[in-house]
Amino acid sequence: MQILAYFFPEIWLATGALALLTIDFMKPKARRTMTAAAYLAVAGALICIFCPWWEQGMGILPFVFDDFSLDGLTLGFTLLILTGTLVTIALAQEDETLKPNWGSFLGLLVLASLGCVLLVKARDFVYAFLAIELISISSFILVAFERRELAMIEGALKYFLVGAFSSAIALYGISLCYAATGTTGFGAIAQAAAQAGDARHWLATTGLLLVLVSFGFKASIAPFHFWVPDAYQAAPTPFTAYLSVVPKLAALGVLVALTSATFGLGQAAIHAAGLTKILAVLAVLTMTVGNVSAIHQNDLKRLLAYSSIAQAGYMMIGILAATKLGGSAVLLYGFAYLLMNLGAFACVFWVAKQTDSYDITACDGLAVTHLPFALTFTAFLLSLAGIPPLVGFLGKYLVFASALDVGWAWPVAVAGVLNSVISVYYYLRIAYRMFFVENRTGAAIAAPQGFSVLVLVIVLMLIGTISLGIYPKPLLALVQ
Amino acid sequence: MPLLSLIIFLPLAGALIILMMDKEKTKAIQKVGLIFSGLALLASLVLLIDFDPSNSAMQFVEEFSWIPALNVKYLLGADGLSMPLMILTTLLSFISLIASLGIDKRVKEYWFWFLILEVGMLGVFVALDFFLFYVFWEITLVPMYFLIGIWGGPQKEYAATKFFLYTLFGSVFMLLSIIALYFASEPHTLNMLELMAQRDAFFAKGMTFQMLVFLGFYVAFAIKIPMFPFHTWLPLAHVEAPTAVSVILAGVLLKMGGYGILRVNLPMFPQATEAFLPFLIVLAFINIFYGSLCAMAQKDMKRMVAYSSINHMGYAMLGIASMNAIGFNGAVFQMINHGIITGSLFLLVGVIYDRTHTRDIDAFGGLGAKVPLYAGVMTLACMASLGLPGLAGFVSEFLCFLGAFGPWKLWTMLSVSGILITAAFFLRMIQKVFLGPLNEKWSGLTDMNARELVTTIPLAALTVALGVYPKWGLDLMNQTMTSLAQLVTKQ
Repeated sequence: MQILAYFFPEIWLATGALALLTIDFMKPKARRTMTAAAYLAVAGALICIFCPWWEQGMGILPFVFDDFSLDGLTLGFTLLILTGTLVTIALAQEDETLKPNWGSFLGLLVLASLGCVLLVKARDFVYAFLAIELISISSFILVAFERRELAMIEGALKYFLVGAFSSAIALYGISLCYAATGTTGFGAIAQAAAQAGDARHWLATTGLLLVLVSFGFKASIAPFHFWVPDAYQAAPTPFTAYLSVVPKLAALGVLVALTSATFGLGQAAIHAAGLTKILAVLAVLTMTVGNVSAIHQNDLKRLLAYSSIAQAGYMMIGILAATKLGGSAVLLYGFAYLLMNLGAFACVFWVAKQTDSYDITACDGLAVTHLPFALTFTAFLLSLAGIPPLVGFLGKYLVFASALDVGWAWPVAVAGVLNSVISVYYYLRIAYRMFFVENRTGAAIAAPQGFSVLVLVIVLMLIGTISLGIYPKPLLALVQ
Repeated sequence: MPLLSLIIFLPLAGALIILMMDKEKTKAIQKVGLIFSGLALLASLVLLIDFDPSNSAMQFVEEFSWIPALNVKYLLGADGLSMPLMILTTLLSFISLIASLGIDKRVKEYWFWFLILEVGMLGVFVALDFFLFYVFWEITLVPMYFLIGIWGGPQKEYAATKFFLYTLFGSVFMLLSIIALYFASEPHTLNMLELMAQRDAFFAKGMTFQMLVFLGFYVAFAIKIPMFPFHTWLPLAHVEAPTAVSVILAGVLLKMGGYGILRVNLPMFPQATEAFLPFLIVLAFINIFYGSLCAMAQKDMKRMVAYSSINHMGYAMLGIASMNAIGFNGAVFQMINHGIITGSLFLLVGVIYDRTHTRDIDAFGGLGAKVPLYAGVMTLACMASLGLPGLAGFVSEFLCFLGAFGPWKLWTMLSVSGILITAAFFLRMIQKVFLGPLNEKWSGLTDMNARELVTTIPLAALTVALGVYPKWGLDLMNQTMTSLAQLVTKQ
């Protein structure tokens, strides 16, 4: 029963998802009930995180099993995942096109989150693989939720094929690891490999690399990122926002756990040094590819898709450092990223709702007609670019600090800062359209509307982005 | 009373109030902006009275823990280096805001960004924690981007983007250097004063480390100053920016670079400074010589003044490279004087541009008789800029040369040529614009109005006052510069 307490969030989410699908089946018109049920499932899970404490007091962390663990990092990422899901549900409420299949949308969304929560908890390849499959299958369906245009189907199909391919790679890597060491636990593999002979050692390292690559697909690490722009563009915007934040952070979370478990044992344990170098190259590649490709994007969703690739690259820096500082840097960056990226997507969604266009020209002249909105959107963009005193800067600061702390990784930090200069260019392109370009179409955007869930989301994200940037003490306390 | 915080955040309060106001009420917005900027000016003058110039240590220190997990403190303090620059900032901001009363396009945004800009600039000069310093440093970028990009000239968008990317490129390397220093210090700290005390530890980490970190800071500061070959953003940004923003750009933002070199590079990395000194002096010479030649080649008055800034900041760098108290005094004084003089030059160019919509030197002629007041103030500013004895510019340039002559005889001698060229292009401009027969096209030209006089006369008066009685300004910084000179030479 005690162990079960650690899985209350998962149980709660699973129950919620099944309930949602059932309601959808029985009473497809009861949308309010479904919305309430979805909120209840996620918020309930959020509360359930704290159940073990309630039962046994604070001193219980970290709680480590062979197969899964509940430490500060897991907790932090779980918090991120569930918060991200809550925001996504709020955004989805504003999307009329989702209304016909509301129940299945919510049910699948909650299922995907369940997979994410399981993934960050997993310390065993089999668990991790199952969790990833749960995320993937739900996401495949959700990306293809709107099949209005051929391009949307293309994006969804790409996502599916690449995803299935990456699953196969993961399985192959896991099997190699198992062949070399006879185990599937993160820590156990590293230990067994350390004691094994050279040939097996290499086998395990190769297996590990394949698994890392496969997780990289989910986290959109270059060169495995080709599905990202198309899938992001095809998916309904609220789900794009979700995809860019929640599964990505979950994958990065399990990468942190994997690297700290396998690299942490020192260089002799496994060919960690070689693997970290590979990760370093991938991080630099991811940042550069994401940023450089984003420069020429005229579609706001594609632009943010490439930007989210680049952002994953920055977080990779903290992962390859494989230190405590690196881990908390990734987590903190995750919080910052959640706030600013969901904020940015909410702003794009807002623009699209007003103008019915995702083109960058839809932002023309917004500063003249909607100054508060333009300033808010700019704040999210500047935070993504890492300009202080916004929260994104803090994330970047910690990530770069973790690289310089490790010493050999300083070139990665240099690449990182140069990339943030590049990124400013395309983030400012949006600000440029809002502030410098006059609205030529003359089709004035409707007068500011009153209260809506979307506005509420934007305001909450803005408050978080600014206040945690200026006063990050609580966030840092949580992260450490 | 936390006077420094008060000065920094008064403009912020103003900006936030403006943000909440109705954008149609332009008069009220301008009033709020002037009040808060004026209050900051007043508070900084109060600070000046309380300031003890005979003490070279940090004064008005405010310290409390900000982000304990990262050892980041909210740490402010002013010494003889920050104090004059701070007064310069509050003064020029207030004057520029008065000069901005004529702007009628998107008034609310303009005043909001301007006040935010003032917050950033003031913070840079008094922040003593590197994290805080970096935050303020970056805060200046965003408002400047919008101020140039929305209210600037024909090429404003390009100029704004180039300015932003250029400066950010420099400052990210500064960020890496800051982090490197953090990990090099024991216990880890971001406090500039503690880091200065620990400089031997950086030396112990090897010359390569010290030189890399030095370069990281130098690139950030050199872009701001701007030092050749990082100067290409300057003419564009200065020319495209609206008048009042040009004043701030030339008057204050460039000083952030010089301030940074004096505050960080010299005292923290004496060995690396020594290694780079031959390059610094050559770069200073190039700035002086090349800047003045470029200015000479310009037909556009604003461009000419912009290039003369490169030349004038070269003198300041010459003073810094002297590595003695006289040169440092000259450098800081030169930065102050350049702020005052070039600020008024930009304002004056703006005056004529507002009336004629051209800045072409050849388009005028004989204006001296038509607008005598304008001709007088403009001539005074030009004379001060070219270093006429009795005006402020002469004193500081003289000190820079005097300080640099000891260690760098050849380069100082070569640099004097800059004065000659500067005199040539300013005199040529005066001749073409004010002397000779009146160009009939401008026979309807009116002289300066009250608002323009209010902005330029105080600066002109300061130019004369600091030229006749420089002790007034030099006393403020002398003690700090003397101890700085001891700090950098004693290894």
